[in-house]
Amino acid sequence: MAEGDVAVKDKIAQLNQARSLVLQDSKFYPDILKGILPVIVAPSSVIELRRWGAEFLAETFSSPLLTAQKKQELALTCLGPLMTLLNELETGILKNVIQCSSSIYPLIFRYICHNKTDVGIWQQMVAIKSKILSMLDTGAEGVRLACIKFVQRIILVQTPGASDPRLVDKSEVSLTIVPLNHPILNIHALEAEAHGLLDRLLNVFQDGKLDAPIITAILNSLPALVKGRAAISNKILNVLMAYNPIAIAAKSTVFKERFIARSLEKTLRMILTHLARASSQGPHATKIQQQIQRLLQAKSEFSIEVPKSNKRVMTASDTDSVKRTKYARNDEAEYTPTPPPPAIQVHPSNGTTYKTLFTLTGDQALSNFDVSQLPIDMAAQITLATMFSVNQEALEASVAAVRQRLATLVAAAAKIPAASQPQAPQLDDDDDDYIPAEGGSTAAPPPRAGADRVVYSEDSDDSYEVKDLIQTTAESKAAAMDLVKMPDLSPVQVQEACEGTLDRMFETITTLDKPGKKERAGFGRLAPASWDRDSWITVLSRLSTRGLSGIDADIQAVATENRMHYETLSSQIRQKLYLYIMGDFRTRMDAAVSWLNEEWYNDKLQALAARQDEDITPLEPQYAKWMAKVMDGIFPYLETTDRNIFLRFLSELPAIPAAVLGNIRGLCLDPERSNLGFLAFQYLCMLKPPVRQEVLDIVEELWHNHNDVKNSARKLLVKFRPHIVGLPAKEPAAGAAGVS
Amino acid sequence: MSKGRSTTPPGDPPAEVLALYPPPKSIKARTPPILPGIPGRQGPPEDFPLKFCTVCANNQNRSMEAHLVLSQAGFPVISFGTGSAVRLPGPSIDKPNIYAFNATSYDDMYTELKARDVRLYTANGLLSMLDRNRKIKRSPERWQDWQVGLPRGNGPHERTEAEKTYSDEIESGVVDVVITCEERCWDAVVDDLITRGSPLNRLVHVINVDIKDNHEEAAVGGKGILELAQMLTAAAKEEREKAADEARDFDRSSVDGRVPEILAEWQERHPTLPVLWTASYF
Repeated sequence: MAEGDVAVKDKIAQLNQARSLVLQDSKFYPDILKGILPVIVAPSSVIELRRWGAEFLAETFSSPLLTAQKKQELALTCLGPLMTLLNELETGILKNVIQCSSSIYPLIFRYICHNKTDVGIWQQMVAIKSKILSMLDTGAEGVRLACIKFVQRIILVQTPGASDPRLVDKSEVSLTIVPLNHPILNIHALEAEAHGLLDRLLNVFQDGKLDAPIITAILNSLPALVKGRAAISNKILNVLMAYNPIAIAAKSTVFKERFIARSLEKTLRMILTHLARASSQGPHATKIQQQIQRLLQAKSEFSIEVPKSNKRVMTASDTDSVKRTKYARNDEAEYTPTPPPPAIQVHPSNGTTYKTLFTLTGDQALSNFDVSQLPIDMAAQITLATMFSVNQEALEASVAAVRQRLATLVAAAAKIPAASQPQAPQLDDDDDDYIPAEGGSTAAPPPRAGADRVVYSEDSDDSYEVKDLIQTTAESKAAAMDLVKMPDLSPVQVQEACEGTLDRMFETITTLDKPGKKERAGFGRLAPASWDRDSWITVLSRLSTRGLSGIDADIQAVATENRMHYETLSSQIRQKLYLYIMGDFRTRMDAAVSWLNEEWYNDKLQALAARQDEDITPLEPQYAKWMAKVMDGIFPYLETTDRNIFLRFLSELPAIPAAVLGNIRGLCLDPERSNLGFLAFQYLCMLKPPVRQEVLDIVEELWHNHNDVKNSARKLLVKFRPHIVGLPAKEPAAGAAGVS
Repeated sequence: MSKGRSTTPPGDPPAEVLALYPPPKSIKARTPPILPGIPGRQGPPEDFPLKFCTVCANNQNRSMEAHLVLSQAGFPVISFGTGSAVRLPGPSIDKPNIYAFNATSYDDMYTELKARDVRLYTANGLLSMLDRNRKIKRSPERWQDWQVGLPRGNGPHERTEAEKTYSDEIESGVVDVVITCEERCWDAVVDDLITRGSPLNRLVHVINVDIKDNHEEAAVGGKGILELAQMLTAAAKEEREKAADEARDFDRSSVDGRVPEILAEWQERHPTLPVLWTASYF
């Protein structure tokens, strides 16, 4: 085995030497080819040799150094080996053999034309041909690409070439060189075969597959056929005109397919450009130009261009003459004031579209100009410039014109029998309704020229019938249009929407920066300038306490009517705020304080309003409820180390409900946190006089009933109710002063 | 008036700066290019189944940067320009230095520009670019003048003293992949291939990698092209090995079929180098 390897290596080295010899001097080709062929196709030869041989054959018949005559002579000796190699299964070998066959086919064809009796050679060639054609659809991709080229060669050979004797290229091989009554070559059969093969190639543009290598390879093979073979050029051009790779690829969002679409489109455009240039006087030139325009337009619509645009890409579109004139006209419109249309044609209502309604220019090209093609900045610039320079009279005339049209439409609509009118205004989610309404309001910029329509022109409204427009305008006195009213959301929908919104808000809030150094902003914090966490909490708590109550009442009424459960928006917000605070009460105590203060304040306001006006039923007081809830929430987690936070919390709250005091009492009885509880009581006694008596009642009760905490309770009582513990009463003021 | 004596007249740069750029003794004097550090093909030819060709407008900056990078990595590569002439920046925008393709060597341009204004052409990077290029091949070549299939330099023994080309040439004069560096050049190449009418019947992938024409972008683009060449070559080798394994069965795909997929993958990694491709024939 190893010996064999070495032998093969030696042989390849020898062959390579021979190759460099012919590369240096082509006159050695015949001798070397003769010597090599038997070695390659010998039944005993190894695959490496066959690989090498196939490559060498392909190279030989592609070499520009050999004349066609020389190649033809050589070709006659190679047919057998080629046939043998075609039975190989390796893509690399097949590719080379087919490439070689493509070069040889015209040579053999010419030979047969002149040597009418050499049936053997032609049969060999036909065998090679049918073998290769059988691989056109079934071979590996590389093989198929080689086959396409082979097929293109066959079509070139088997169709008639230029009939004008002045244009005939002597070296060209085509049906034209076949003598009449040739014993072997049947012109009609050959031509029919060529047409059949062409159809097979062109089929690829219709089957909608995106086999990019095959398609581009065929595209690149077609120009030679269009240019050289008048008989089939029409057919090919028609297929190319109908082909739009972008339409196929636009369906896909896959990156690869978009890249392929871009490449296919560009290849097609290059080929059309080449053909347009080659036949600038020809009958197809305009048709080709149109297709190029279409492609450019389709490309810009689907924006398959990669984002990074390049100035050279722009120059490519500069050749776009149609586009240019459009821009030019647009510019003209900028500087020449458009006179108001002399007579306004009102189209029959069933044919009226928003487009015709607002089109004031008589220039067909201008009104067909699709403004949405303009880049948004350019459109904005044009609109702004127009708004600044617009002539007041022209504007008024234009508005009057549109108004008059509308009035005519309304009048026409009134005449339409009721039965033929569409059903009640449809509830349409589509934004389309919105666009014309905006355009129709008198405040909108004047519909003076195409540029103005930038504001509201969109593809969709071109075809949009104005039936519903007539409906609404007929009802209203002025020509101004009302939007179709959306149905009210059901309470359930409101609830769902609200919940979603809140979830998002809190998600955002938790990711926001904590406000840095806390500055006492005073009233400033109520009007948040920086959208940090605190500001959002302020907004939310205000929403829950005041902002939403009116809306809630309405929806609540609907819900009760329908016997549905409805949790008011404000209570939803409260619930979320509560959960937010519970999420980390130590750092979010500030939020709790500001929220609960808002609640307290609101409760007071409600009570006040109810007292002043008997019609108003005060909303359910919320402060005590939520205060107790927050306390219940945090009590299980309070530790002695939370002293500062907890005391501050108590101090900043406007009122302490009895339930909370009960909670604190619970703390006092917890041996672990007893200190904290008494500290809180002491603090309340000292700084919150309104609850002092209640607190002291509790402490007294503790002193009486619980021996564990007797000492702690006593300390407090000594200070505030000394008579209980059997001491002489003090002046209350003295106690307070002592503390301060 | 007599305020210190200076050896250089006012306006001229100080002596130590001038010393960095000694004026050539005569314009004709040609220093032979220093032996370059650009290795030729490394490893056996089986490691490089695909041959490459890089193309830009002038065959100076982008295609030569890519040529160098590919050469250094051992790829067989040649390069061309598609412009009508070699245009290099001159003292002002309306006075470019124009040279003929093929005729004027990089070395001539280097010598001439150096003699003309050594500071200007050092500052704008032309001299270092030309110096690099003259170590890669003799002269800029025009794509349209390329006779495809005409054997090119045949290994080191073919090189004469006068015409030193240092990177490995492609003996057969045919390549498998053409990489252009600008959409305009891709257009020119694709159009030229159609005009030639593909006499060789040989498949070639024409790929455009859009690179701006400056030194920095050329370096970035060169790296991108190298990566692309490596990806294509790896796929080609993989397919060949598969073919060898399944010796008695069709291998269902070949590197040709995988080119779009490889390019798409590459493009995702290099979104700033827009890519375009077509399969054409020589």
